[in-house]
Amino acid sequence: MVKLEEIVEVHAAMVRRIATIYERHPDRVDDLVQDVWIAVWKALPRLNDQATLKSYIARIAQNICVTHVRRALVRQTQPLTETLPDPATAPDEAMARAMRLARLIEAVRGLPENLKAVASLYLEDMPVKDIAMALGISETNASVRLHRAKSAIRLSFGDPS
Amino acid sequence: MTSLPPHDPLVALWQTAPKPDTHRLLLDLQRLNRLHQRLNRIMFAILTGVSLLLIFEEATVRVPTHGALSVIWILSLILGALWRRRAQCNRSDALALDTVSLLKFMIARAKSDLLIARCLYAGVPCGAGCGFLVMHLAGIRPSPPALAVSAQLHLIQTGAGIATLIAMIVAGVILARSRQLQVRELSEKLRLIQADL
Repeated sequence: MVKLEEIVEVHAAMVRRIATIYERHPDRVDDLVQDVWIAVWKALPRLNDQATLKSYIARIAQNICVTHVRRALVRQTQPLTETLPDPATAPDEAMARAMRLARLIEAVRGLPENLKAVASLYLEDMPVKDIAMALGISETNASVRLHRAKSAIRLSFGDPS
Repeated sequence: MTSLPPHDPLVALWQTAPKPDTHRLLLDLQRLNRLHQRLNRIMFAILTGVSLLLIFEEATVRVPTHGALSVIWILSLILGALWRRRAQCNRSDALALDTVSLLKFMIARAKSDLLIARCLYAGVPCGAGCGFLVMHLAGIRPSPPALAVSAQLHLIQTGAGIATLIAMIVAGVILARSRQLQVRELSEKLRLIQADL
């Protein structure tokens, strides 16, 4: 049995990336990430196949994020400028990449809920079959949605290559 | 284990996100686990205290119910603990379901919670009123020796009963409000996820 510390070390980045799509406020992203790990901690003993661990955690993260209900009091959005660096102060490649990443995050956040769910799992490099299984939709449907999501992202983001 | 680089530049860019601070995350998880255990211990102490108090009250015939209340209370505690354990397992299992099924499961659970909340804020005062009427009509009242011990204690008990009643009603109202919001938001999310299926 793999220890939780090792699992957190390997998959923490993925969980945080998924949470970032669904929650804009950094403190609430932390809370969401914690919720995901608590759920994984509790669900881990019932995982039979260790080979599917990544998609299992991604599915739990996706589910926790989708079922996360925001309280009306804290429903406030942060301006885009807080997450995007100023283009005028982008001196090097790392900064430019960080800016592109921030724009990608914003593009995914802006997707409708049905496309966002597909996109968040696709960006974690999950195959369409696993995405369809995780969301409870058919593979054809997942492919169509993925195509729409990619088009929408490229439209608002531009091709990163 | 090594993996191939992602074929899509979007995926490749996505995976360049900086790695979070896992040390802090693990410390937070351990802290939450400790808090959870402490909360469980506190709950256990409170419930044991209430049970002992009830048994004491009945043993000294201050409440003339001949042990029936204690038995009902302890049975309810056991059933509640079993139900909670089962609900926890169901919740953990449900998280690994597909998103559409999970949303349906959560909406059903939020609706049942809403019913419980309504029972709390509407059923509790009705139940208390009915209980009072039945006790009054059936002539069930504290035994004269119990009343003779201390009138002040009787007053404290009545006050504590009313305070508990108010606390249950307030908790019911808060829970109902939160569950109504949950049902609304989850239903909307399910509708959006299922859109054009």
